[in-house]
Amino acid sequence: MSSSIFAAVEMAPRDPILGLNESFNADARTTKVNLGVGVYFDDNGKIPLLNAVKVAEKARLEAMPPRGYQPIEGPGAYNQAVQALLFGKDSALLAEGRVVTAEALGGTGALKVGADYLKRLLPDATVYISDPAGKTTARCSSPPVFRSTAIRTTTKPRAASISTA
Amino acid sequence: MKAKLNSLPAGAIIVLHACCHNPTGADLSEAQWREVIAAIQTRGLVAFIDMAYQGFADSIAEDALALNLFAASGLQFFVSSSFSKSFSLYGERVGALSIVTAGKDESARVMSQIKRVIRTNYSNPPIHGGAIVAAVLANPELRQMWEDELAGMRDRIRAMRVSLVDKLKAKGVARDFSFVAQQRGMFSYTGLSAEQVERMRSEFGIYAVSTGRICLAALNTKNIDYVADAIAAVL
Repeated sequence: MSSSIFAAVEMAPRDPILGLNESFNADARTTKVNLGVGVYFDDNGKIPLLNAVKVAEKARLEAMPPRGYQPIEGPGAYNQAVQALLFGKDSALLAEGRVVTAEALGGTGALKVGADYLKRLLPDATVYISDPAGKTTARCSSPPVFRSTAIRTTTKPRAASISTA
Repeated sequence: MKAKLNSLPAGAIIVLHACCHNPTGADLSEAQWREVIAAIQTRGLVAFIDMAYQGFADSIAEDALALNLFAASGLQFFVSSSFSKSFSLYGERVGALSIVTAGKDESARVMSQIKRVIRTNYSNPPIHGGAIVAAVLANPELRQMWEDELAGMRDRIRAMRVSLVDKLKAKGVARDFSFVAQQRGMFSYTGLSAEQVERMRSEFGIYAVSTGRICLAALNTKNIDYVADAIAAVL
């Protein structure tokens, strides 16, 4: 008799926000409203597909470009466009070659790549997550992403000197 | 916050939200950012700035205020950014990690390390979402179209914030919710307790995070009265 290698596996806790979506989807009430997840809905309650995206996507589908591998850090044109949005296209930092950018799998993916690198660069550092309102339960990707990289995390309590309410 | 920053050990990493703070909706002023940067310089801290909502507070340029101040400081820092919200491309997973170094030579070495991290994880990013974003940003006409659509999303959220505050007041809710109208971005902490959030779910089918955080961008002219009624009922 052999026992499964998964026999002792424990159930992981549900993601506090994406788990809420599962409950919402299972709710049969027609009046239900999902104020949980950070997604923009239009006045009809739909996630919009922007017209600018439609035009660019249509042109791309018509061109049917080949699908080779990308550079590890993503295409230069994309990364330069990101830098221009963040720092302004005439930024001195960019002119001085002081910014490096790599395309990542969303903001969460960027946090994870950065966290992995920081773990190599500063193996003993603790990560602190800012919290202007002084709540101790930050609910976004950053705390779990940093925890998954085995970096110590904590949320800063509010201090009297900076009030942002 | 400043006192806490000044108590951190050298080399500690701090994650800061550039604008539209998730989950609170509370942003720092320029003077406050300057104090934060001064503390980071004094303590020798490493800033990791998360920019997930550029364009949702005031505009693309104005929402980069914190980044501009960090850029002018001479510090080295990390930035994670995302087009999930600003392009409404959540499922395409389009974002970027940017790192500001002390100079060109450092940049080359840091990039080589970042490439090693990526290569041993997913090798290289998928094509489609990034290609669409790059195409829009490279074309002046499409770029203007995008900025207008982004402004439309921003204005609608702001209108819902103001409307929710007005409706709660009109329903005779005594508690002051005016902060909801002043905050920016998708989220606010309502101050509702976990028990009140649970009543919203069980009695009304309105789902919020147990901390009381709600996404204002999910409100619309059809459901806002229902939501305001529910909040008034559970308070």
